Amino acid sequence: MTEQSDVLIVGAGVAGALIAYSLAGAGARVTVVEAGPQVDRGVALNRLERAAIRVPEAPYEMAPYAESPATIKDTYIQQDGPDPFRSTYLRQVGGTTWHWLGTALRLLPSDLELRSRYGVGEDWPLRYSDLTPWYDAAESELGVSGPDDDFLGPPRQKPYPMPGLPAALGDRLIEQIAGRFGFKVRVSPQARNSQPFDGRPACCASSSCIPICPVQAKYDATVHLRKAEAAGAHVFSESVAVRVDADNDGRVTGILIRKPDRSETWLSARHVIIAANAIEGPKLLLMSRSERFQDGVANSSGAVGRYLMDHPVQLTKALSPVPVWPRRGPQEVSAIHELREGDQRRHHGAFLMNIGNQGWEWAGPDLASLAREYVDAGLSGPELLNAVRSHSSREMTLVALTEQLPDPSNRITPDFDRLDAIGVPKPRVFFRLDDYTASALAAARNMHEQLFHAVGATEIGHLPYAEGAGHIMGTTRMGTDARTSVATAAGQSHDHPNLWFAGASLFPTSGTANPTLTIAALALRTAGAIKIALKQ
Amino acid sequence: MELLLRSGVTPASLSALEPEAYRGTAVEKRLLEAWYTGLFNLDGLSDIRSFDTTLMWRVAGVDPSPGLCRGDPESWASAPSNI
Repeated sequence: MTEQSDVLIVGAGVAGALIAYSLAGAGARVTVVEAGPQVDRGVALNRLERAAIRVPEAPYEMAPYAESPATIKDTYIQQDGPDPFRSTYLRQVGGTTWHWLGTALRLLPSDLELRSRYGVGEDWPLRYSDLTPWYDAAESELGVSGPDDDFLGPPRQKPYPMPGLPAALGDRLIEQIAGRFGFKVRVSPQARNSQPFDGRPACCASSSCIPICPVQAKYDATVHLRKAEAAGAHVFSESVAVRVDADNDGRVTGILIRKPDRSETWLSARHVIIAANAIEGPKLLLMSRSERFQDGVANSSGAVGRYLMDHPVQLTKALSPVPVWPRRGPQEVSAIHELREGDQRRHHGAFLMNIGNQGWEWAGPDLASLAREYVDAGLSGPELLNAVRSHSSREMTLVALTEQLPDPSNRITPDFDRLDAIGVPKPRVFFRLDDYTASALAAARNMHEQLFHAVGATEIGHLPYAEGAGHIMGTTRMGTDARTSVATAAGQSHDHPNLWFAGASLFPTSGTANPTLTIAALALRTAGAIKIALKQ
Repeated sequence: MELLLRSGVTPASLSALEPEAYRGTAVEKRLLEAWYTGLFNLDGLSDIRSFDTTLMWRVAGVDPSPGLCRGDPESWASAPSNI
């Protein structure tokens, strides 16, 4: 039998796009299938302009055949746990990179050795040094601007592709007092152009990274999808993968695709890569039950869909004593990294403290609500203007991304009783935050308060629940033991030699950094392994 | 409103328009709210948003509104000069 493709990739987000680009460039016949539609940036910007509430998905039209979670009044995910799983994602060509923030941090070496160093969680099946060259490559591909600065972790082997972006005024205010706590405010490395790069312009300060960059100064996966297509890859949108087939020898033979009109096509390939994020990927595997694989494909361990993680977010807002003029530039520019590391990780999660540059748009009330509140209070004329200006110019937010341990109870399963418009099960999620994370959230609140008090801020308030970071991780985790993990360190299924995984679903632990750069590094590493496999 | 703002009228000069005549009636409040937020909602009959011309962004030193290009990366490193 001759397969239609050498490589069939399910999912056109950053992981799928980078693998498609890498393998198509090496001469492989590559097909990418994406459940959702193509996105026209201009149409999306027009939709954003008309949006009454600017949630992350506001610019994008949700296709009924490729639903995704909504920030408000979600009907897609059935929430079963005591804590709601608040992170969302996009199903469309380019995936969630359309509305990612753009932060492109590396993990720390200790993030990969949580069990060895602190006696909790898991160790990753690879070391930081295994990732280093792939981090370098990922930064080059995505185009990362970063400061020429010291950093936690090993020294860099290569400079960032672009100079770092300038700090925001709020960052500089926090920086004035950070030293008292032993902290340093560092501009974050970000896949956002500080100067023209790779045919894309420099950041134009639109302050809309989430939900959309108007000029693609912020990297999104369509960059590499276009490059992959130029190298011969085929990208099919509106193609929902509904089943992975494997033969009795364990080799995956192909994927069944369902179109919006419910017609079906079966696609064969020598190698199949699941790069459909940590909700849709495991859902597909668990939907692929057969007599031979009764618990779904790649699931001899029973770990598929389990160990779902996020970086639960502690948001704290305050009013600065002086104007810091937020909402101009990226929504977060700088961060404090010192609490990502340390012996406290034996007892509670580490956390990364980002300094918001978005006023209270996330923590609330947003600017429109503030203006409405003042109008309702009877203000008008210069009094209203001065009140809105005084408040909005001083709004600050600290955003802690906390660490979460892998918990097998936290899981996603297909809900065969709740089907979408084309008959595909919607996801069902059980999610709970354990004491390890709850303690990290409490520690973050405490530290936020101290920092805000130190700068003389007032009206300090904590969001009373943990927000989702949009960092969906852990549901096809990698490991050395096939009894407890789904994939090898190369992303290859333990059960099926020609099935691979790409994305944050591979993460055994959440780590302390936004996951996208690590997703990209692992995807490039996996592409290297598949190149070797294709020659065999 | 859009024409007014584009004609060069500043938020301050608009705010100064007959402030003594403002009585804070419900209709006046809704009009003022629409001016600031772009959202016009009276008795549930209308719900219109014109985000990029709303006054609140200009008052907040965010001009143009988020989603539109404002300048180079240095532009957020200092206080806005156009307010």
